[in-house]
Amino acid sequence: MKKYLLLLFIAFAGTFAVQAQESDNLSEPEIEELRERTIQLITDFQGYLTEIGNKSNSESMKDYYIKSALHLFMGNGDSYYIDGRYHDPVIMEVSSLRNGITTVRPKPMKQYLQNLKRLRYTSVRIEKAETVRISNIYKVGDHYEGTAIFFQYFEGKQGERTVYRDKTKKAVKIYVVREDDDWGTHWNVKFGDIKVEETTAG
Amino acid sequence: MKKIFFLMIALVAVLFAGTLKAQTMHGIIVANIDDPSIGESCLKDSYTMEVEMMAIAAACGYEANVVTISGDDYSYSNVEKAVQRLKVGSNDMVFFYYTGHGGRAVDDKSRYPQMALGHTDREMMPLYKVDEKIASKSPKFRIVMADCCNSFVAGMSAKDLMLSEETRIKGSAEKNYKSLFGSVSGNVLVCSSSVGEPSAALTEGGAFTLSFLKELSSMVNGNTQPDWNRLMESTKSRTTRVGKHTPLYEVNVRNSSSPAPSYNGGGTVAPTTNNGDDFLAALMQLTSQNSNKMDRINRVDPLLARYFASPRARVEVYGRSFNTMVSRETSADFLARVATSTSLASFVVLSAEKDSNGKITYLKLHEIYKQN
Repeated sequence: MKKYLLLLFIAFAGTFAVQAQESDNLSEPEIEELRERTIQLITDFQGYLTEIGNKSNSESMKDYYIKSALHLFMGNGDSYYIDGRYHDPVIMEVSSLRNGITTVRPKPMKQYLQNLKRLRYTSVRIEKAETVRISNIYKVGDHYEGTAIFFQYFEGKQGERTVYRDKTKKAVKIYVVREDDDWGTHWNVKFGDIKVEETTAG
Repeated sequence: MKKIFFLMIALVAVLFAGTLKAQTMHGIIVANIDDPSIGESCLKDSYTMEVEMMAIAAACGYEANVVTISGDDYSYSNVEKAVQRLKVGSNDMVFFYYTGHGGRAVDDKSRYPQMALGHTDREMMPLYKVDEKIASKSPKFRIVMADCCNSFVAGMSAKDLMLSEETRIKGSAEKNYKSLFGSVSGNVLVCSSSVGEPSAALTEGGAFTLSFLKELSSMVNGNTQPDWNRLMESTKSRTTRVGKHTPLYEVNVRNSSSPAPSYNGGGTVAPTTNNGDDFLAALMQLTSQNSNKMDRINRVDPLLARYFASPRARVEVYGRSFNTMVSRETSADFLARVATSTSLASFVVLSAEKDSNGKITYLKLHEIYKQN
């Protein structure tokens, strides 16, 4: 009447018991769960952009979302240390499509979010499009890296008139880094630079 | 004993807006987590099934009312009471799940096993009797599932008489969950092993439970039409391959004329919790997509003060295996994130520690996101 204990984990790839994250290396199941976490965080980030751009939200509310958004990034939007050196604050590339020509400009994330808050349209709609895609996460030095792709629609209006609309494909650099806090060290997902991959008419 | 763990694994719910009486998914999880040989496996099973039940409820737009009977509460009488006290509406769904020891008597008439809810023969409860009892309450759809051995046990008697009568998220996945759970009526009765067979307990959970969840995940996330017979057949096949035992099942499912309400990504009514603690209800309110966004943000500080020992209390988020910590943050950061998230659907509290004032100093949980 007893269940017999089978210690064959192999049959359930992806559900191995994993050790508490004390080692310098992540197991495959851990990496898989951190990939899932990354997708959740990117989804949240896209939601933040929607709210920060939304003209009907108050200034204080937008600031709250900006703070939450910055939390997701390396250095919280300030310069950060990785690969043995300090890096400039993460950037967000912004693009515009005029007459079939795409212009791409990098903005420090903090500045980008502040600009987004006060775009000169009477209404702004930013919506996520398609599901987030994420690459393998692989070890680089003492941390892990990967890339995720997300899509978003942007529409800016003046009154009832749509002044600008596009759909962008963006690639965000993913870092899985060890962080120290009051309780020791642990692995954490953080975002790096976000680059425009493609901009099309929305 | 186990710290202050509300192993309860409370539950969650997502009610649909503007409706006074929501459809409810009643879940009863019975897990023998203290057994030295299979306890760890059963604990995993109870967590994963709790998560799955919440995902089902969220996807179908049901209020979830999930009770977990384990640890000190694990007893024949508590299971009996939980089943008997079920108050089921005609459009409700009941999901009973057992993970633990099981067996059968040589003269058992049912193909399904008896669940070992204690150490004596009197504490063996036939699975089919639970199904009968739940059926008598006429839910729209019921699932009775056991991950336990179905092998013959010397000295065990058949029990014809039950329980004394006086005496428990992605667009396509959401749609498929509804097809399987929300838009059907009838019942599913399942046991992990065929007559005479034991069941395998792996470190990650029962071979059957893991197989069921894997196949369920494939089905709800896949492109094929969800179908209970196919789900159970593939679960059977996987369990046979992995656990070397063959699940037994009966599927009697038909499309329901009462469609499941649409998912709204959060509720306007506080969900119930199974331990009387309103913390989860408060958390759910904080995630509710139907609440005013500024209201959600404004609730952060009061919640922090009410439930946490300090803004720097430790909150750890674990992935679906419950082994991998995917985030660690302070309680202040956690609540701020929850209040601004646009895709969090619910939580499973895995454990918590509190100070002498009853305030949380450490919270370990799993987050369920609505997939878009």
